[in-house]
Amino acid sequence: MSFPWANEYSPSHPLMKWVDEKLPLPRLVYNAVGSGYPVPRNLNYFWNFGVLAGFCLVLQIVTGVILAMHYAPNALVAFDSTEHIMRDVNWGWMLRYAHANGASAFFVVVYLHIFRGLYYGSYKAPREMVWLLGVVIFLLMMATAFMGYVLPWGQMSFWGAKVITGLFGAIPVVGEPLQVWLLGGFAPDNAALNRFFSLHFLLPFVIAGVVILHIWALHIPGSSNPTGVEV
Amino acid sequence: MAENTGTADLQTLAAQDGADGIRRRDFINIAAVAAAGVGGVATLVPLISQMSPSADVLAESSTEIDISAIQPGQAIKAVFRKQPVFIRNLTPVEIAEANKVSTSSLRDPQTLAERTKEGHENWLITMGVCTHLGCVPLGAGEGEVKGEFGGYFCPCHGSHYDTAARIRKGPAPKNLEVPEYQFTSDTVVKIG
Repeated sequence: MSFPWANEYSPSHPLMKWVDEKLPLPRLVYNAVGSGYPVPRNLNYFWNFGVLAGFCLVLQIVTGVILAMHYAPNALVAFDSTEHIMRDVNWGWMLRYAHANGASAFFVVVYLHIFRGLYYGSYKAPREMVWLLGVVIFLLMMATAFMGYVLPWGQMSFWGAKVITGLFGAIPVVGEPLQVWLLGGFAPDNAALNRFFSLHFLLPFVIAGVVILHIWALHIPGSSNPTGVEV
Repeated sequence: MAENTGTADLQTLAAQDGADGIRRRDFINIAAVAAAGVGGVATLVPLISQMSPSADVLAESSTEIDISAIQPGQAIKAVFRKQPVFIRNLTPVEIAEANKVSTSSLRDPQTLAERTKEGHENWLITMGVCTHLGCVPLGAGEGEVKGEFGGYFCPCHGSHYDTAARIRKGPAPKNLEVPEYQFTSDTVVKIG
């Protein structure tokens, strides 16, 4: 991983020198996201939303892992365990609301991030790969958020699962068997709830992986800037 | 950041550098780090306390038991905080047997009076959890082995407890634990 823009990392502390020789992790952090990585000085506040989206992802993973300590992905008890989180678990209401509203905040921030890319032409050469990876992240986010919406297993969850998997059912010829395959049944039930929970836990870590590629691809040419003129 | 500031500003800032070398920016740095630190610690509170027992677990943390049907010489096994508890109505012979042992000879010296409530000396209430490795000792149920000292016997590694549930022989280091309890009436005891 090399960043053409980055300043040379030269640690002064002997311990950091020792670590850098054995495992150049401090060098990677310094060059990739630390102060060794220079950014244009004319950036405006729209350039904050990438970092904010990353913060949202961390918030969602932290609160989500905690909620999974108290949630039970079984159609018989899923709703009860959600109520248990809201009423019995210490600060459970706060953690669940942080996770649910955090998801909305994540999308608001990402929409502003996408708008910035469109408005200032950040998607143009040489940053096409950054945009394409962003599209992958956005699709993964939508899938993850939908499956998270189903987990409380209330009325809105059930009918949400029914309608959104119904979108796949509208595909000609293969649609209906595809929907049955996705749900593991003819309507949302335990099989669908369990696989949604499993994937809802997995996909955020996939997103985190693609985010690393997204930042890597960005830091090869470096950030764009509001003038649209390369500096 | 300094190169972003104009020359005039730099001169003003330099002029404000007292003999002690304190700059105005130091205040901003300290205030920002302090605010972030307080915010970070406040965030940790819910993240950590969510792992403590939840309200439904705490609601089950005390047990009320009707002991009116337990005859002298009998014992029952009840559940307290998901663990067995033994409630035993001692006979006068068992009480006398427990009292004639000198405490200095015991591994975990305690008198029967210290392990019961005043006015209810015949009621021996202990956890049914061996202090060695946590097995459930025998001796509370009808016809179960009571060990060499007539109290409880743990079948796992052979710990013998006497009629005050004190450890007398075997690997257990402590007497059976006496939980916190009180008599709410002559026939009802509230544990926990």
